[in-house]
Amino acid sequence: MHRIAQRELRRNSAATLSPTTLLHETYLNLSQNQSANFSDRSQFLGYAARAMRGLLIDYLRMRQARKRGGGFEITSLGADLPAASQDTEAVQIGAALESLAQLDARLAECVDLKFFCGFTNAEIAELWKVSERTVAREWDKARVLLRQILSEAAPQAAP
Amino acid sequence: MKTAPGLACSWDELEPYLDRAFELAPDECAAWLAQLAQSQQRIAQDVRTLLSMRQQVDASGFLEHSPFYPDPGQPQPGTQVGAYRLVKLIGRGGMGEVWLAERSDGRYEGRCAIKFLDASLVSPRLAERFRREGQALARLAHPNIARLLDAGTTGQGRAFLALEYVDGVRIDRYCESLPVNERVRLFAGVVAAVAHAHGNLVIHRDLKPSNVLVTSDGQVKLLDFGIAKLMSAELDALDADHTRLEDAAFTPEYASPEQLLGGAPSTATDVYQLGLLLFVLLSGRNPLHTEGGRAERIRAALERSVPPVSEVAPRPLRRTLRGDLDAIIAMALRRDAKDRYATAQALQDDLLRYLAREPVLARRGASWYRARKFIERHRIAVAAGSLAAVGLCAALAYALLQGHEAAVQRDAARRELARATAAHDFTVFMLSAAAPGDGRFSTAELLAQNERLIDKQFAADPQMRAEMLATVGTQYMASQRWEDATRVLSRARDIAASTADPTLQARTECPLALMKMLNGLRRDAETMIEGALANLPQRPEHAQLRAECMTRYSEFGFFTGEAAPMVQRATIALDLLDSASTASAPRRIDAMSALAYGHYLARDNQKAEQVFEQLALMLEESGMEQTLAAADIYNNWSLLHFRSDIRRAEVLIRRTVELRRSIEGKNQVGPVAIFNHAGVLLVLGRLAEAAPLYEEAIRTADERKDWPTFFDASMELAELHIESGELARAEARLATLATYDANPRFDGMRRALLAYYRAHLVEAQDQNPATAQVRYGEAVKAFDAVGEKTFASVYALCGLSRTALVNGDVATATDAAARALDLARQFAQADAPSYLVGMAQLVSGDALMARGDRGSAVRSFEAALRNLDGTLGRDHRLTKLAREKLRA
Repeated sequence: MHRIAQRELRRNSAATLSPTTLLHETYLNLSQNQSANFSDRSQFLGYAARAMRGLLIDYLRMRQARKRGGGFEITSLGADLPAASQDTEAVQIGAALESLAQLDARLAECVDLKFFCGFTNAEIAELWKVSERTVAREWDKARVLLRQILSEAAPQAAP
Repeated sequence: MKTAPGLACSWDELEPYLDRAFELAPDECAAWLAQLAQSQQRIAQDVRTLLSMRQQVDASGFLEHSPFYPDPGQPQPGTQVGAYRLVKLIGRGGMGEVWLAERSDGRYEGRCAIKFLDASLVSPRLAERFRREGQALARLAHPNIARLLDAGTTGQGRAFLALEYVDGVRIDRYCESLPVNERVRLFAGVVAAVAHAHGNLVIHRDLKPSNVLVTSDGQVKLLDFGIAKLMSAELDALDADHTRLEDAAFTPEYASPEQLLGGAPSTATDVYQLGLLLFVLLSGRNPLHTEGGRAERIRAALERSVPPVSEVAPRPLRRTLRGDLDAIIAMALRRDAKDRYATAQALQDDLLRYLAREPVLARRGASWYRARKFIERHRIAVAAGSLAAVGLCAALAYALLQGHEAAVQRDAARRELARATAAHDFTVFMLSAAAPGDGRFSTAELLAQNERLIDKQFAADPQMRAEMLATVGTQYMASQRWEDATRVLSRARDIAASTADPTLQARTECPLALMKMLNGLRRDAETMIEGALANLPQRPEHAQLRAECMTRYSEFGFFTGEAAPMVQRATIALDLLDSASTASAPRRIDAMSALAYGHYLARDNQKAEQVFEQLALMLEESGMEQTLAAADIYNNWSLLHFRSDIRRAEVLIRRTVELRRSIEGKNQVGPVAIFNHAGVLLVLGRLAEAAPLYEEAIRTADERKDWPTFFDASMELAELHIESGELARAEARLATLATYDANPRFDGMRRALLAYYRAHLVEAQDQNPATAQVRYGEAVKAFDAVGEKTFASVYALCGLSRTALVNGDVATATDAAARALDLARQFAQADAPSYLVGMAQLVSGDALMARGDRGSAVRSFEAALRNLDGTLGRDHRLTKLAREKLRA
């Protein structure tokens, strides 16, 4: 877990959460879900990556709410954070991922690991014990399906 | 059946076909797809849909870039970075790539080096701090320091530094063929640059041969000044687990013991590294070179003693190196920072002595450079109400003089009791965010605004209101607006008393107690604060508040002058802060400030200095170096050095004044701070710089009706005129002061001072030595009458001795000299150099000469030279005088 959280930090998460926060929150999420029995490492990994996704999206949602004028805030949101449109995109992707996970859990996990946890193809290949080429292929498929899901979803309001 | 929306087939069915489709080249794919359509129409349809989706995905870069992991964007030749355009990669530093770049706006020809930091500064706060600190470093301008041109972040948030590009050879290679003295001379240039930087309170932290280049015209250039810190601060901020040892910000081979142990670097660290550099330059070898890893290196630095350079160097050089250079290097490389040269300047001075074939101080051992002593500001200072020493110590000095407490004079005098007390986090933020450079609102206006806002905002919530008012009250204290502070804190306290909340009460009562103390109501103050402390529950969640109260209690010491309770209480406060679960930099800083002052009161300058150095670092690390708290800390710090290392005192005072100016606005800086600065410059002989400051102090003091400062500054300005030979102006100024005789502030001490200055004037006019002697005699008697020991007495006695000698009155001369020496010694301590003692030794020497005792006279002059050299520097008039006397 810590390794995942470390990655957040090293790659300068634009979500600007400290690794400790991420770690604690993810752990909390996991431990609260006591029925989760991790039979093997890969299951755990998938779960953790998903939890990470959940956290980041929650954070983004909160941030979006604040931007729309929910209370006084000291201006610390600025140039270095992703644009509002990206926030929205990220949040929508989260929703679409749920659907994707229904179709193919592995593809969803690929997106979690790559997009939400920042692992490279090489790293994912190591985690999954497959070749990098396989990872690349899964990634392609995942993106395509996701896009498909999103385009079929209700028309979005302009960002 | 699980289907993606918009698709006919289930995913399980579809997937293998999609895999195939993705593998095929486009033309193959079209053919294959056509064929598929014949047998599996529904699947083929879906595959087509997804293939076109794939095109969209590729074209739009869907999911390519995660907003959580921005791609740092590898720099390329031609990339624009700030005002520069990258030309080519020239290397890879410890923390990122280094590129050659040129200015791209056509404004002027210029090449520079751009250093990237290997991470992105995403937080705007970090980026801003990086930029700001970069700007501070950029102000360091010296021909031997490679200029930092710019600091900023790229569009992707990548931090970069633009540095002057230096085309040169590493200094160790350059020195390979040079004779020893040439190497030393070159090195002395390096040290001068470092000393200059230290004078501007910038430490290098990573001095090593590869950071010192020599250009084709033989000029040394120091690279990466202060950058190590800038870079490491950002790395630290990004990764909380970043241990110091892994810090790429310094190079282990050249690191000082304290850096290797993870301690904070200081000017002494640079001195150490300079010593290592000199070792390498003279011998071609690094004495701490080890093959092993980090642990080995640390052990080498800490346990192994460095061999004398003369033993390690190539044979032909050994004789030259033996002795002085051995000693100089050994002194710089002492394991304990306190035992090294205290400043780069001191090292420089010794090197110059070596080159001039003069005795080198390093050979006398480390005791010369031991801690500073308790000091009152020379002559001016101790003059009562002038509270020339800003910082509560001033009141203290006065109180000490009077020998009893409540002697602190009211109004003007008290207004100058500068002391930054608890500046709570958010108000510091508010003021610092609004004030610097803004100029539109004065601190007073901001605070008044805060008060109004609070009353409006929290009309219905007395608890909140009391809290906020307490905060504003402490902020008033920080700005030295005592009446306002007392008023607001009393209001806060009254509101708090009506709630049943002991913590709220404590928060208001503790600072209020301090104000009462300031107003001379000691018993009330003590009762109030002890009551507050007693009522506070002992629970851990109150540790921080308890610590604050303890700190306020400790600050009583500023007024009572009692060192032991001050140190004790401050220590308790710090312990409490350690045990509290949240660290609070401003509170720590306050407690440490009190601790430092306590040590100073206890005459333990060594400890005080340590604490001050830590404080300076803490201020920077918590971004508080531009606050009033910082100004006061620097001011109090300077007091440590007044008597001996007065040059350092000057730097610190100058910093104080600059900080005050930038925070409070140009016209609001108190006259005492400026007066202090002027006084130090006067002692150092920098008359041209001192004169306008005196004039400003006089003007401001006049406006604020600060009579004590007005008088003292006027008198010293007269002194300045005397020293620059403008006797007529001196006379005029002294004459104006005579008209203030009727003013009650013009007490015995000041009359004595005036008598002294008058005597000095007569001596300078050189027309009537007999009168001069008489006047000095009067001055001495006046000082005796005041009954307090002051620096000024020493001066008066020296003057008496001098003029007596001119008049042939050897008996009086000897007597006066002896008294002067005796008195001066009482201000000095142990082995540390003291310019007062030096001065007294000069006149003693003269008196001895007149009595025919040449031997003792010479010894006296030698001692004088040591004292004056070690404090005022070799170029000071008095030091030169001592040297001349020795030559005769």
